[in-house]
Amino acid sequence: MPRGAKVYWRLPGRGAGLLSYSRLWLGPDHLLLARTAFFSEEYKRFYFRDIQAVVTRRTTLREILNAILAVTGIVFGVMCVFTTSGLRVFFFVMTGSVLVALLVNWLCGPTCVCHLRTAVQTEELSPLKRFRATRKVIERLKPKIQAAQGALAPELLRPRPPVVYAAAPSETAAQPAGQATPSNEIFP
Amino acid sequence: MSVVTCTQCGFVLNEAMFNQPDWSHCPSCRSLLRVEVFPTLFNAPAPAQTAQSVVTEGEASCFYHPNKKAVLPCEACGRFLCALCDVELNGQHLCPACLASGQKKGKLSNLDNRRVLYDSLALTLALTPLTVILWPFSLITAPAALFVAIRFWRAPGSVVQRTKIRLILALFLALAQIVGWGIGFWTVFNS
Repeated sequence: MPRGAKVYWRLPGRGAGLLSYSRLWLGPDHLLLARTAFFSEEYKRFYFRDIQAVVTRRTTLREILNAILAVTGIVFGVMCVFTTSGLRVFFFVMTGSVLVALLVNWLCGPTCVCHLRTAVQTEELSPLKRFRATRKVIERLKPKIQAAQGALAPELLRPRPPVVYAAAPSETAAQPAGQATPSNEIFP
Repeated sequence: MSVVTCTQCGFVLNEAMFNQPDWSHCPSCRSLLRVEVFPTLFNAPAPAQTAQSVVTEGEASCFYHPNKKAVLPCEACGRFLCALCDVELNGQHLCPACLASGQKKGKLSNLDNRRVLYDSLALTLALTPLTVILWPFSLITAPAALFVAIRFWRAPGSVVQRTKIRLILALFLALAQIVGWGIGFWTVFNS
């Protein structure tokens, strides 16, 4: 690879902690999770050949934030209306700021938590907090993972029929009729 | 085959939920989930590598395990390696010693899991005293920023692409502050 050539491509999403932030980067054969805190950067690499699944779970953070911001905005708005002194400008600015934050939060779309799974770990991808960014990242990852692992055979995604276990006659009698055996339960 | 679990409650998810275009509910906690799975999930775990013993007299043996059969040479040092000692990294086959020395010298960037950002440190040192309250501190921070920028000019920075602009800015600002202090002292002593 020529010197100075771009190796990593920045992916959407940015996770912010109290004193740190994290970002995702797309490498030639892996996904890089970089966490920056003060003057150091820590890395986690997920090789495309090892990625088994990406699980995205929708959260209600956006709705909670919207509710908090809306209540705060209403409170500041009321204060702005009923205040006559110089504080009125302050409350007006505060109401405007809160409404802008509310609008931004609403426009950013639904929130989510994204986990990446390999054979030996399940890691939360902290930069992926919004579903829009998560979808974009997955769309960019998919071809790379498929290139490394091959295409997924459709028959693998077909639900497996529930396994019928032979039970002792007494146990069969004890089980109520019509009660299905959960497919994901493990029997000795 | 490995199983995929709900990240909220840990319930084992059914194949019917995999690679769906829309959200699915977890059967246990009703969380909305989207699960993208890839072929590796369905593969059986690879059997553990075992090194073969030397079968015949005169056959090449591993440098580290003389009684084991060599399967390939290390691409860095050329030592013969058995299947146990062969470490594959970025398409290269290396021996444990080369791997360790490469990591120590910072030559194998794929093994780096932590880097110090000297460019950010130098820039922060150069910028912080520019605020109105902290400007007297520039007497200390400017030379410190200059030292960090020069001392770590060639030090490996972030793994992800970064230019030297922070170091250049830090150098420029630190020099400007030092020159400013110099002019200030010169003016005071001459007057």
